Amino acid sequence: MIRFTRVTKTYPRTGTAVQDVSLTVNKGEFVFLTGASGAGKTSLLRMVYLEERPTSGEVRVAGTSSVTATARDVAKLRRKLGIVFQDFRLLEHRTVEQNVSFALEVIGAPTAVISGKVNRVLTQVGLASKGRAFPRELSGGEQQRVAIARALVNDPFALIADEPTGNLDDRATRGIFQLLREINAAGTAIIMATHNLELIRRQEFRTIEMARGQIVFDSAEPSATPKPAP
Amino acid sequence: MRPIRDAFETFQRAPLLSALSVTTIAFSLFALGLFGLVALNIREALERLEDRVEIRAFVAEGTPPEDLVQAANDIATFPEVLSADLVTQEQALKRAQSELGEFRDVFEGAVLPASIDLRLKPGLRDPATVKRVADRVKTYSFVDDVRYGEEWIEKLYRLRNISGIAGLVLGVVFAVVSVIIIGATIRMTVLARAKEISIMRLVGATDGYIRRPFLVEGFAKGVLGGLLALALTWISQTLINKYVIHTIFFDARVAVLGLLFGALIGLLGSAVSVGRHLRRAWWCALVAALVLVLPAPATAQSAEARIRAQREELDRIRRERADLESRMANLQGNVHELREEVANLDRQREATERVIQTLDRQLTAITKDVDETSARADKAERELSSRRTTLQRRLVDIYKRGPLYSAEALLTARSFGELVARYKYLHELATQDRALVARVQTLRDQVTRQRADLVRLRSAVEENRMDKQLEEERLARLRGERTTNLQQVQRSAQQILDRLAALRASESRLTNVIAAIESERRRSAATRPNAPRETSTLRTSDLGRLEWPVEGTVLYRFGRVVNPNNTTTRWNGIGIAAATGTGVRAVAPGTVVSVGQLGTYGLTVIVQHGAGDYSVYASLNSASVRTGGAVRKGDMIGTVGTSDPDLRPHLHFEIRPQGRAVDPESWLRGAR
Ligand SMILES: Nc1ncnc2c1ncn2[C@@H]1O[C@H](COP(=O)(O)OP(=O)(O)O)[C@@H](O)[C@H]1O
Ligand SMILES: [Mg+2]
Repeated sequence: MIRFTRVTKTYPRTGTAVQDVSLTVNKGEFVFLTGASGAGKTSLLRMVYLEERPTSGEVRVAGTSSVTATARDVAKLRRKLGIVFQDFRLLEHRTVEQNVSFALEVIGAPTAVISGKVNRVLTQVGLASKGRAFPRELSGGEQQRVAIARALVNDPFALIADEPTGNLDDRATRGIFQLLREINAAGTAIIMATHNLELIRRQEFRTIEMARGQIVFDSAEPSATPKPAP
Repeated sequence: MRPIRDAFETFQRAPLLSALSVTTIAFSLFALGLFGLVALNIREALERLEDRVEIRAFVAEGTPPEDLVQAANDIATFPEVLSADLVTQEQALKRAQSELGEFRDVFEGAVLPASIDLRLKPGLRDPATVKRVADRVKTYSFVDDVRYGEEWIEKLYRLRNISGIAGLVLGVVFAVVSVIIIGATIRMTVLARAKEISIMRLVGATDGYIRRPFLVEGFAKGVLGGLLALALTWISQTLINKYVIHTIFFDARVAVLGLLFGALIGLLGSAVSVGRHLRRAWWCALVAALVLVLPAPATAQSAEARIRAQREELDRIRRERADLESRMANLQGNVHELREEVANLDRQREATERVIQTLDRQLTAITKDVDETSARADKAERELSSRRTTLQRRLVDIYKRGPLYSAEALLTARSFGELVARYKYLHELATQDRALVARVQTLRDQVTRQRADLVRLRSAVEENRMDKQLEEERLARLRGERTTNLQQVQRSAQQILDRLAALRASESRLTNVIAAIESERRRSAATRPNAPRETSTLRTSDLGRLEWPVEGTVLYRFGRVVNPNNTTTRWNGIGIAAATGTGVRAVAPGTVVSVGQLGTYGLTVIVQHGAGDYSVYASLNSASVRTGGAVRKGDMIGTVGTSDPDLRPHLHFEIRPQGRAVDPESWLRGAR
């Protein structure tokens, strides 16, 4: 469903961020992506939703190829993906409901279905009672729940979360992680970049570790043993 | 519908920014519109100008009319010529008066050249054709000047081409500027919504979808800006029409086109800005400065002030003199003494003299002023005639240039400054000339009036001076008279005094002489004591009985006499008037004791009558007795003569009994 084939990403000024990565993520899978800061996690994720195109190699996501995709194809693809960031990226001047419904409106969803979908997804993330609040009136964990709700409202097949708990305290982190697990349980694949090793260690999910742009460990590989850093 | 709602929302959310961008667009389109108007009007004007291209062949004076008619007919058959009309001198004058209405009066009586006016067929009004026809017309012997604006027709054609290109270039430039401005304003809204856009992209909105509200916004701003610009342009045009010059406005088609253009650049601007890459904003600034120089007005001065000052001075002196005159009158009334009168006369004369001197000075000044004013009047007159000539010449020239002379000025200018200068020059020159003529005329009239005033003033002053001169002479005469009088009186008084002194001296001498004689007689009588006692021949019985020593009237009597000039004289005897040479006789017998000159008494004979009594005969012409001689009563002792030039010939006669003078008349017979 998501396949990287010998993907290398080189930025003009900062050099190679991802080097020769090949990777497959299956439907409904929960993947942790770890590694030191600057290892290339974000770059890898950006290539998943085709914000960046590989310098060489190919990324295929749900039938969309990074080599051939048009801008329109990219837009279409993103409607089937949910994306969450460390900094939530909510619209300050809109209420929780409006932030969520915005994701439906801008892709031209029929007005009739919007409010129902928004209510359902807000209930799912546990914010049914705060639909009319503005983001600044919410705690960090709640704000991230709004972002997740917005990511989920289009029923994506996969949720891409780049350090979603990076700004949260332990309690909120556990809450968000719990929510993601529930989402995953409902069938949505999740790729979550994090360096909260504490969180990973207690889980049985697939873990991919990156260093200097390369995958140095993938728990899904049968022969996987942590490579020592050179 | 969402894009429209979104665009509307943008307006709502940032009304100030939106208004700003609309105004910015409006102003750039407004500038475009103004240039468009200028271009439009220039084209319109050029088209109309071309319609008026005409050749005027001015003919020499005195050409026979039938020749002209013949020539006009000839010329009308040229293939390029539409019409050829004959304009006679009278028609030329009428035309000039209507074309240059403000100079109607100046043309009065002017002679303007007759002409043949040619109009060319449409499409054959290009410079080359015009020149060819003009050259051909020039070959007529009686044509002495052909005017067709050779310079400006060429420029007209060039300008027509240039204005087309310039309009296009300007349009493109302003369109680009507008796109840049609109792009910049749209970019601001894009930036304001950057986060929203990124989220839209994230959740899978298509680029088209994201772009649409911005395009709608740009379009709306373009249309609004266009409308605003159209309104501004229309207002400007209306104002220009009202206050400056009549112009035409875009027709509806062009206006709609302009709106569409605005909308288009609005769209274009937003499309350019909604890219992912931000471009730098361009800032364009235009600064125009106009400097107006106002000429400072000049001031003039006149001699009037000086004349006024002199007049005041004269008045002052006159008052002074009148004062003196009245004092003089007072003096004349009260003072009788001649000296004071003379002194007063002197003062009066001096005052008069001063008046005359002042008048003289004034006369000199006024005469100088008159001369200067005359010179100025002459100069003004000369200037006036030269100005008039210039004005007439200029007007004839303007007439010859025809109704297009202002267009010619515009079109032949090589720079904007020159354009303004020449336009002003031609437009204003004649008016200025005319104003100058009027001004010079007024000046001349003023100067002439001033001169007449001065001349009048001068003659008044002259008259005054003459009066004063006469008065001075009169005063001088009067003073002379008074002085002579005074001198005479003084002299006569002195003479009298002198005479009185002399008389007194003579009298005392006589008394002394008699006293000496008496003392001598007494001494001799003493030496002869035995001699008989002397007796006087003048006896008391003789009182009133004695014969007169000479027959005549009494000139003066004994004692104190008051003279007519208030002096008094004491006489010791009487004066008996008689003709010179009349014989004088002794009044009683006696001895002559003295014959001789005795001061003012003249030749004097003293006779002693004994016992100290004497008689005195003075003012004699001659004496016929000698000292010591004896005389009898009635003996001739001399003749009457003159001793005092002031008195008639007379005998001074005294009787002195005992040496003391007594009134002889009491002794003489028949005292009268
Ligand atoms: N947009 C970008 N442009 C240029 N260089 C980038 C960009 N994003 C990341 N990089 C570079 O790529 C490398 C990997 O960065 P990143 O993928 O953000 O690492 P991580 O998410 O693991 O911390 C870094 O050295 C970073 O400097
Ligand atoms: Mg990162």
